Amino acid sequence: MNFELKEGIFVLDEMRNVSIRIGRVIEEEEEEWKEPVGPTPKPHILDLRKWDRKLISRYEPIYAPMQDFCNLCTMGPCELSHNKEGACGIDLKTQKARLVTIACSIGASTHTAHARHLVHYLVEKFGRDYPLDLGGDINIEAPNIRLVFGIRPKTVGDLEQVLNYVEQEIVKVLHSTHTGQEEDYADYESKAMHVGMLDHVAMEVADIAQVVAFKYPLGEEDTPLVDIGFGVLNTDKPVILVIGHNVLPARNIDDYLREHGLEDEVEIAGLCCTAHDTTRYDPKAKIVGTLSYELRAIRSGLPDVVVTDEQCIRADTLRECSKLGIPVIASSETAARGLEDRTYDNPDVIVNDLVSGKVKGVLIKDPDKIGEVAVRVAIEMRKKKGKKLPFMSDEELKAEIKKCTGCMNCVFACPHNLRVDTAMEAAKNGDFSKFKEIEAVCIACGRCEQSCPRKIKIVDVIMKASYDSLVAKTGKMRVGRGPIRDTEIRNVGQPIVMGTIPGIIAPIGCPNYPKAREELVEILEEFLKRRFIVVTSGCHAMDLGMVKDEEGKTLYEKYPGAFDAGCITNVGSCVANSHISGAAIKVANIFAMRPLRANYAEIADYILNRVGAVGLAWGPYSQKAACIATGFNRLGVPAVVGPHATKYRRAFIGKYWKKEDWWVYDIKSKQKIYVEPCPDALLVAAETKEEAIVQLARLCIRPADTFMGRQIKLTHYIELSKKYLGKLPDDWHLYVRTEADLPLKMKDELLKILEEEHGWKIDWSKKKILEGPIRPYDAGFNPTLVEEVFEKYAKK
Amino acid sequence: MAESRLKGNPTKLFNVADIQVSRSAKLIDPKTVARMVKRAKHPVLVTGGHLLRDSKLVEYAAKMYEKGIPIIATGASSKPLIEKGVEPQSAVFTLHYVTQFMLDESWEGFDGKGKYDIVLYLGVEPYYLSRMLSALKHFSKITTISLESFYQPHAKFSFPNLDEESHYKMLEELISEL
Repeated sequence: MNFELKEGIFVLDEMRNVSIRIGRVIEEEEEEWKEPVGPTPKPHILDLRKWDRKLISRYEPIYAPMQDFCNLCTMGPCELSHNKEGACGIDLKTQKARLVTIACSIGASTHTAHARHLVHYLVEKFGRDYPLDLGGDINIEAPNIRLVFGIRPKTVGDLEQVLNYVEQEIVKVLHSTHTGQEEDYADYESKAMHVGMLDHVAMEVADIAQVVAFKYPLGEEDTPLVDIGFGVLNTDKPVILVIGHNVLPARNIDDYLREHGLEDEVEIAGLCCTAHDTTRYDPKAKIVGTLSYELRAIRSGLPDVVVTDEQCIRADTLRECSKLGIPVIASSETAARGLEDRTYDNPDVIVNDLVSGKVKGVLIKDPDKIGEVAVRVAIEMRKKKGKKLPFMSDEELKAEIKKCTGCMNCVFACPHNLRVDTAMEAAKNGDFSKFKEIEAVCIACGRCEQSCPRKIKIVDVIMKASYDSLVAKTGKMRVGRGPIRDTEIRNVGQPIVMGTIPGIIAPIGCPNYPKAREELVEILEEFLKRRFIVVTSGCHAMDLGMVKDEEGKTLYEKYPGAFDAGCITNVGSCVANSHISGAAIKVANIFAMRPLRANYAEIADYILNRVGAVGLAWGPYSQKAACIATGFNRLGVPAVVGPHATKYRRAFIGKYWKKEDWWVYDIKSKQKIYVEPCPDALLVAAETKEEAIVQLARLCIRPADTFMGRQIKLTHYIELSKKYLGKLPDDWHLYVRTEADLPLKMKDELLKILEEEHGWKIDWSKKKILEGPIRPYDAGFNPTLVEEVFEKYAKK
Repeated sequence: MAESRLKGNPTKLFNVADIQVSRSAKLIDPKTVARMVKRAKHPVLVTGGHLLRDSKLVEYAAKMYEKGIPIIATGASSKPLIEKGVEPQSAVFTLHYVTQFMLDESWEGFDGKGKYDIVLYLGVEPYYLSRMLSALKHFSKITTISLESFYQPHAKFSFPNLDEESHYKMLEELISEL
């Protein structure tokens, strides 16, 4: 019987009660993509558990409980202190791992729902067959999707299939967090890694969708420089402030402005990742700043209308805007803000209701309609209110300061324990310098005001007292470029794996820094000067554009935008983080020719052992950041995090002295051998920028470094340790396999130390190490932690 | 004990929401700290990043070192300490690493002399230290003592909330008693 394969349900003649359902037909895929399907297509919750266990065994989780009780079910609350078990039998460690899994599931759900919204919109607008054309320089269009799901997505419809899978898996992981499930913390950590991996897939779906549909930059290294900073707004014009992470409403506002010739009449400015993506769509748009500027931007009274979408938007946005008579348009079902759904109302009526103040805000789910309403409201509000007045007069400032009794409740409420009390005291005597210092570190969360018994508007006082420096924080950010081009990977793949490009530093994440954002620039410039690759995204990418040097230049203006040594490239918003993981995956595939398709463990193992990439989340605060980092960790990429990240409760830190933890299979010698402990952590917090710099350098070291690469990496590590820690690093000798690994300028000095302090045997006539290293150097060394990979290649 | 200038409760939490149901740190005075350190088999002082901005803390840590307390320097605090003649047992490992190592019963310490029994802390970012003390409280038997200016609830013993002047006095008293 001949049978044409197509989607649908078929009943076979003469076979009663028998039907065949054919799902998505993948014949084209099979025909065009010769690469065989790897071992883990669409991996389920346990399919990569073996790999996770290897990581968790070496990088043992350290738990630092925030709470020592659980109140998730009604048998509790249960006291779990000192690792006691609760009524359900769960102990404190496992409960913390469970909470980490929940947090990561929230993070993955966020990006997945965002991706689903974008894809749904695109399917409605353009149809499922809309092609995913990323241009000729990006042949590996979706490395995460290829690696995990096992297809090469060609259309928007393909992305729907990927999201179906991701959503199913997230639900399964969430299911596992119900009371009475796992009893081993390692199993929860494996699930956290699972959703972390899925998160990168979902982010890739979201970013590819918007890149192709909205014609964002396609990996160009010289994307435009856009204005960023609190002071960039032209307040002579009506101002629309868009806040959040989903570009749809902002894009349609921008379209409306252009279609009606109003682009020079109205300012559109963004906060957080919506700002990123708006500038990817239209470089004329401006960026006010990151999450930490939300309350300040609203309190300043600068916006004429505020449009919110989703994620990282303050939960008091409507209340704060209403106090100043700023209308709010909510656009997302995930953040409806208690507002009436006016999606199907006449725009004239909605505009009138908002401008007249009849309603404080509205919910409009249709991005097209928001485009019209937001613009008209902004113009009408400006006509109604006239020129903007300062948000606080000098007299009001003095009156507020006068109220302070120095009780210090604000200091104890502040996440950084900033000494607002002493700044108030100094300001009473006309000295506002302490407030300027506070403003640089303050994240404007407003907790201080909640605790003040005198109801002092502390956020406003800080802002007013330091307004000059606040508005002076303007600069240029290079627009997010999206994926890293395959050609760039071809250029840098070999030097990265050999170690001659000493590492990739990836500053990503939120603005919850321990100190001022300037520290981030200081950290990165150290590595740019040393010709590391710097690739950034999200709030970190924005903050880098707000810090200028003495000549008034930002890092984006001082260093090229390529994915190359000594360059800084901005991939874009949060969801563009997938291009950073994607770049690491592409190195394994394009340079090393490792098969990509559904081959997760092999690629992650390759990256862990060979690709010296390290994330830097200097100010993480969100569940998304926790999930992104955990996804990077599963992929073999370690991360250095700022001190606030210890509140995530869990890190992955190995123990250098445990020889038994540091082994690999060597495919060349066909033996299991002990190696140097590198990288010795997957997630670790640093307290200061100096400490972070040294950690980033040391975590770039990989077992497969060539001697030349190791020599370069050790040179940087030792130099930075001497510069910032005042001495040679404690563990440098652990990374020496041969005298050729040693920095040339210090060779004699270091050989002497190895001999005298570590008991190594040195042949001084040849300046050669005879005995001492953990293992000798072997140019053909080919490490893996995965038995299946070892068997696959060792048999060849 | 030096009088706390901070109004209200000397054990008010530096982050009022950092609450646990298990025991909170007992307040301790410098003389008692000195007595405990003298009795300890393997005490150590862990210094943190605040030493980079407060030279008095560097001075006090160096004096404790001179009185025989070894130092694990974290947060890049090694640099100013080395300039004062201190040879820290470790400089490169962050407080996160150090805590992870201390949680392991098999760890012999950076000096190879066995596990530390009393760990003092000085100059660490309060919220970072709080989490590490929580880890040690729940998963180890190590005696932790915070010498910080903010009361640290998850230590076993802690100085109370102190203003700068009172804090320095407490540290001076401790050094004189060692």
